[in-house]
Amino acid sequence: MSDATAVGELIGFGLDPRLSPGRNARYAELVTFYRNDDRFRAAIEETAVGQGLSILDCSPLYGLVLAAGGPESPYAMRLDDYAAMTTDERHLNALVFLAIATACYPTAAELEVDDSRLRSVSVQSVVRLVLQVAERIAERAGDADPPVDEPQLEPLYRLVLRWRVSDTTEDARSNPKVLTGMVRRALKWLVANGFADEVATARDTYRMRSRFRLHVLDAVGDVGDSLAHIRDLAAVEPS
Amino acid sequence: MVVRTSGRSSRRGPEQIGLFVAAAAGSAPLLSSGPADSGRENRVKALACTQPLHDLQTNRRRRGWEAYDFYELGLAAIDAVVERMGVDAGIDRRALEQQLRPQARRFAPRAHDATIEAVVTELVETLIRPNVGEYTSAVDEVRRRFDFALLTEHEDADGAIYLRATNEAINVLVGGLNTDIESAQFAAEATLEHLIRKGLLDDAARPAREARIRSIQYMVWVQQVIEETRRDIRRAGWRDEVPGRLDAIRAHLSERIETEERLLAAMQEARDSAEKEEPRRQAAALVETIDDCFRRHQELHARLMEATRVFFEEQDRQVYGRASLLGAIDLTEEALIPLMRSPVGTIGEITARFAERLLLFGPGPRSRSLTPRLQPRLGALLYSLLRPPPPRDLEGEPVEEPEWAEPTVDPLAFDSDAWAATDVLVDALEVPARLSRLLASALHASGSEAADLLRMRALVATSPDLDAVRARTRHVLAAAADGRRFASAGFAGDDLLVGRLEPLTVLVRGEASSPEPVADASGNLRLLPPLPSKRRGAR
Repeated sequence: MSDATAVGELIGFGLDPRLSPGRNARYAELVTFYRNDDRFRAAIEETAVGQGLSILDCSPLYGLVLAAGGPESPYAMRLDDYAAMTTDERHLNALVFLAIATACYPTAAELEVDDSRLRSVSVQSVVRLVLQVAERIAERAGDADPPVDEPQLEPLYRLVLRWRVSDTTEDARSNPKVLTGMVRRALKWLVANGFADEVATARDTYRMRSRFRLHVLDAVGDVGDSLAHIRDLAAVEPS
Repeated sequence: MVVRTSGRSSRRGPEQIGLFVAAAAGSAPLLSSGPADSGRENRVKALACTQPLHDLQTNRRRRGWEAYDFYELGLAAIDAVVERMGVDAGIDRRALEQQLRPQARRFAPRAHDATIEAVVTELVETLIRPNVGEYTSAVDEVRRRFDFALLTEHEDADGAIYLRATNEAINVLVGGLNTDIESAQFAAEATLEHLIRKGLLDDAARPAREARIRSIQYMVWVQQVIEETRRDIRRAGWRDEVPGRLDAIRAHLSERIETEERLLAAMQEARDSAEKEEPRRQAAALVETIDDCFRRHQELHARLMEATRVFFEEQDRQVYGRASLLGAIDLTEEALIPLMRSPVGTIGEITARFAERLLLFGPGPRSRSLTPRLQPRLGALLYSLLRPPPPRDLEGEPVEEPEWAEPTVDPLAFDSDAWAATDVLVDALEVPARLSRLLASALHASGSEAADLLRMRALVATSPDLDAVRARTRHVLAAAADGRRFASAGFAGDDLLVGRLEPLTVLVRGEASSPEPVADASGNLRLLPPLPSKRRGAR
């Protein structure tokens, strides 16, 4: 088998995040090859970058961890592909992913250090985190109510606080338009992407796989600069 | 001031019905001569929070609900929710509706159950619905919006939905005023003592209930501090206001426990010394309220201790050994909080980009997203379209004749004919009859099987199921022996007296712990209480 075939094969494995080298001998073999052979490694990296993928990690534990290279990458997912949403719902759904990440790795120490402890989060704990942060901000901020005709000036925490927390549809299914439903949906999505497993013994509880941490780090890095800017703004504003 | 209700905004999108209430805000600049009055702004907003109740009350005629006072029902609902708000739970929605039904029934004793149901559902729905209020700020003349709901729905770990009252509901509708928690508690207790001394017990109930609500608010706050400490100790505010507030709660707790002990004693005395029925009843109810208040304080005390303990534990776990990582990104402090504090217009793109990185490639083959494993291949498609269909077997698979197992027959069971035959005989029993005579007529009319069934039923009837004796249900068979025996061709033994138990027969049950059917000398069946025990007989 030629090297090019092997390159394609390993990237193929990496594109299915639910696979792991531990369960697939060929995958494990290729990962070892990647780690030991510089030429193979360079070939993988070049091919991946060329087709719009970036490599987050390649280890016997996680396998080849890939992410879309950027917004222009053919692999990039848009929030609009995730669900049809109003502007408000879009803000909240995006926030939910950040909240799940925060619930798993609330501090710098937990995000940076791979202590191989698997985090469990429940739908309720994420909802509570978001609400508590919002309430705490509301308590301390004491800022004026947003003007009626400029909805984009509404702070995100106010949007959270006025949103319905919990509800079921007429046939008692989870309603994806309320906060609890959004969190549940996002966690299920992460399960489908191989980031988490549903815990069978507890309702609505998910155990995050450790590769999720790599992706959170990647996402943080991606928005890092804009985030720093927002932080500076928030620090300057009297609150 | 205008209040809009956004309907079930989460379900149908933020549809907003404009509803004109009062021109208070519009005319504010004319009325306020001095500098900006933010106190009035607060009062305007507090007033707006009562809007859902006004809507119900004003619009009740449209649905023919004039009889119901929605002001009272609404307050009753919020009271009921607050009463059940413990540390982390509220009230189950069905439980709330059940509590409200009798309240609604008071206004319309003859209403249909369905109407009461509809009134209560509408009430609870209205309290849950998110509302949008608008007013013109007295400070800068900008038209501003604020959002509120009176009850919120939450989900517990088992997925059941429960309701909690919001701060707006508690402050405006229960507390009456947005006052400082500390002073409200103090004032409530001082008033309470005063009222009891004056004998105005009914008035005393109000501050007592308010005192309890303050305790609940404290507890919710402490619980929140504990949870935040567990997650991230720096963010829980231990460097700012938390130690001070905990100290204040602690200091006042000891004072309050004393106060309440005194109140309790005073009220127990009032209850025991009251000569009239009404004050005694009121005092007794108050004793219960204070008792509950007392329990809440003890719970609060336990929470306080826990908060301090958790602080030290988490400090060990979280703070020490972190020094080397200073400067690393902290999702809570450096991402979540600053983003949530900023206007959505500024940060929408950042949160979206963050989320999109985590969306990855989409969840497998059913996604509409671009998934590499699903690249379309025109060649393969053409090939499969052009391929001739496989020859079809017109007759299909042969249908196998299923083999049914023989139904099992219980050789000892009686068939329905026997049951029907004995039912006829039992139904005909106006007065108790001898078993021997019944057996003879069963044998004669329907054969030996029916007779045997009757014998069994009489035997079972010597220990009848008394709980089954109820009005408008089928009678219950009872049988008793009086010593007489019989022997016929097929049967022999005690010649039981067999009769029917009707609800009236069992009235004696109230006196007896387990009455037994016995036959008396005149051939009647009676239920008699068991003999009094020796201990009770001897003094």
